[in-house]
Amino acid sequence: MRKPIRWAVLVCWVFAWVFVSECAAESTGARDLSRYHDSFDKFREDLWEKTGFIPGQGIREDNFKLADVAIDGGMARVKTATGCFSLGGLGSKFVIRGDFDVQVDCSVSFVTGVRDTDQVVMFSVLDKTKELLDRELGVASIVLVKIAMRKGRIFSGYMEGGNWSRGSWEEAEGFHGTLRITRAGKEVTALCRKEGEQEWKKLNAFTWSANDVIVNFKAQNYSAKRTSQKASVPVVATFDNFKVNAAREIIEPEI
Amino acid sequence: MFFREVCRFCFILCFMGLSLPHLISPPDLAAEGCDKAPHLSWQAQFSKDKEKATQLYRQAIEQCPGFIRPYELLGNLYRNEGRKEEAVALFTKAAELGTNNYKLYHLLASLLLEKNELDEAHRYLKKSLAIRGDYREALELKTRIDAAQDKDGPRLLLYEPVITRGLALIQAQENQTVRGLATDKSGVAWVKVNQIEASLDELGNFLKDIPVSVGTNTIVVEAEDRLGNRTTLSVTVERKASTVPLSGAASLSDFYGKSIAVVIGVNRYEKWPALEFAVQDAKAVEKRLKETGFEEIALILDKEATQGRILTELFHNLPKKVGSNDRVVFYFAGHGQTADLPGGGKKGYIIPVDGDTTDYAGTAISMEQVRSLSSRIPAKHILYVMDSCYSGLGLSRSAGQSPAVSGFLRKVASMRAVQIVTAGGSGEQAQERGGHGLFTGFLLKALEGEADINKDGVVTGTELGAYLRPAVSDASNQAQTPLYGRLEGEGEFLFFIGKK
Repeated sequence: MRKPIRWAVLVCWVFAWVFVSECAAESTGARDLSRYHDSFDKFREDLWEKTGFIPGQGIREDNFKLADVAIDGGMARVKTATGCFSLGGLGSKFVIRGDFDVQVDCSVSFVTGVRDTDQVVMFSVLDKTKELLDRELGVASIVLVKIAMRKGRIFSGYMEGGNWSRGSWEEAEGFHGTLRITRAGKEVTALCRKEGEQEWKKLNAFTWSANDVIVNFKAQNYSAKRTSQKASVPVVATFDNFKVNAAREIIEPEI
Repeated sequence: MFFREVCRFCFILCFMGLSLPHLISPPDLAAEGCDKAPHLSWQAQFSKDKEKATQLYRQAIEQCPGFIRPYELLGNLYRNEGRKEEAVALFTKAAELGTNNYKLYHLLASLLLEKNELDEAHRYLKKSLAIRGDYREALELKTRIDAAQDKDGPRLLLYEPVITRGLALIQAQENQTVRGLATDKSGVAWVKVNQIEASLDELGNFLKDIPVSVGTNTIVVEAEDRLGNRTTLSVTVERKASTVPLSGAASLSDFYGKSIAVVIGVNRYEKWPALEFAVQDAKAVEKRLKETGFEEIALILDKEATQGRILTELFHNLPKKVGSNDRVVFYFAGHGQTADLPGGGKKGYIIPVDGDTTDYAGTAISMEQVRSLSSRIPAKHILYVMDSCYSGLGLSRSAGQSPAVSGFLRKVASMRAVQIVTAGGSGEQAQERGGHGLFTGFLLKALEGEADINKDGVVTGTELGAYLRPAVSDASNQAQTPLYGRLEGEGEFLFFIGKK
């Protein structure tokens, strides 16, 4: 049960792909989430919780460790464990309903020349009405991935009913900039902007779901095909300046 | 093209977490360890089936008993299902584990309030507010808990008349000062004496002068807190027929028991500039007070007038010897200082011989302290006479009642009064002239009879103020204008100077 709070009247709402520039404002209270900015100077336990959904749990649970999530230097830093399957990150306790525009600064430098570790970093919104099971999961994501010795890539896609769809990818040996997801109705647009750039780059646009979502960002050290894991190096990603630029409605958690 | 398809397949697998049917496993009920507990807890949050969610939360708790979040979420699930006992148990466990979730503490307090476990509810609510002081729901609940906890009316402590168990008090005067302290954790809304509202300060001190008839009088003191809880206290006062003359020469013994004074004069300061006549003024005032019937005078001069010595005299010695029918004069001749308060406003200090030139708060004596003397001693009348200049004293000016009223003295003498006269206001310099401080020179003249406006042989506190203000102001070419004020009560301090 959650308590809907109708205070989240849009002040600076625009449709998802009419991208307004920064209209988020500094705020400290959950009631201001319709325009919220978390600089991660401290961990806001009332807004975030550490998450650890394990995709492909059945074959990985015996050798799994939760990634370390810490507030470090004014940023949320996720670092996977080594020698095992590992992932972790933060999920929002609040739920976003209707149209929204969210973004987060993300920084990851892929380690090269490592064969035994996959490097995956994601910024996602998860469909709150779908069970958190591999085949039912509903998620729209921006993904940074480097599988073993292959080249790193960035792309965006979504999963619905166990089926995955994604747009075209670009090579990326890391990423330092801002990831952004907007939704108007069922239309989702994923964008990114590298440090120093002025313009947003569209990664993908697709029709997905209009259901309530939560926000999640995480790092993990394995991709789907990996069934055993050595992971000699950790995957380290930092997240900063999470912003709800606009949201139709924010549902504050009851607890 | 082929490579692109291979990659696509890999990424699909990546996101599906190898979600091919033969690899999909049910929720891992056997998994152990805290690394997997967040997974179970998060799965439970997404679960549409409450039974399944409950099971997942339970597994998370079993696997990692120190992981707080599933206690919170399962507790809340139970709360929403009306399973309050189970909810309280889980919330309590989360609290024991040290959660920082202010919402949990609020919800736990709310449940405990329903169970009428008020102390525990209050305890957890305090935790909620300690984490987030502006949490509206918690603030609202606090009002409810306070209301539920506070069933008692204010605590009443009567300073005057002194209650003697089982005995009626006997007094001769036509007015009785009712003075005391009312305290309540919810705050005191009002105090009434015989159904008339008494003055009440922020600390709970209340005061009311009420008329008493010859014979038996019942005084009823009622107090109500902000929640509407009341306390009533009654005391019986027996009044004798008055022996005080309605007219003609009034004498000291008709009105007062003891007459006590503390007289301080400082010329030779350790850190402040020396003064010429403060000590002489103090000695002259002592002499004049003796002539007007003061029998117990503590004269404290120069090096004796340290902060410690003055405070000892005021707050240790005086309370031991002052009774409810006595009058007290506090006279100070020396440096005074007014300091600006950080939040606005001003604070006056008298500077003892060892006072610092900057650290007033630590080494001087604030007028607030001096004024608080009136709540420490039961004296009927107190007069503060300060040959120093101050502001920020919070004086309420009062012209007093007209001396022409029949029986005036008898009436004002029977009502409590705390009055003050100072040599001047903030920013003014108390001048010294003709072997005296200008102010004290006129004070002495006033007590020799010049202030006895109606020539009844009595100088009242109001007459003193009315005389000193223009006299000193004129003599100093308006450079120094004394302040007069009434701090408490409706009575009048009386000096019996004899008819001239």
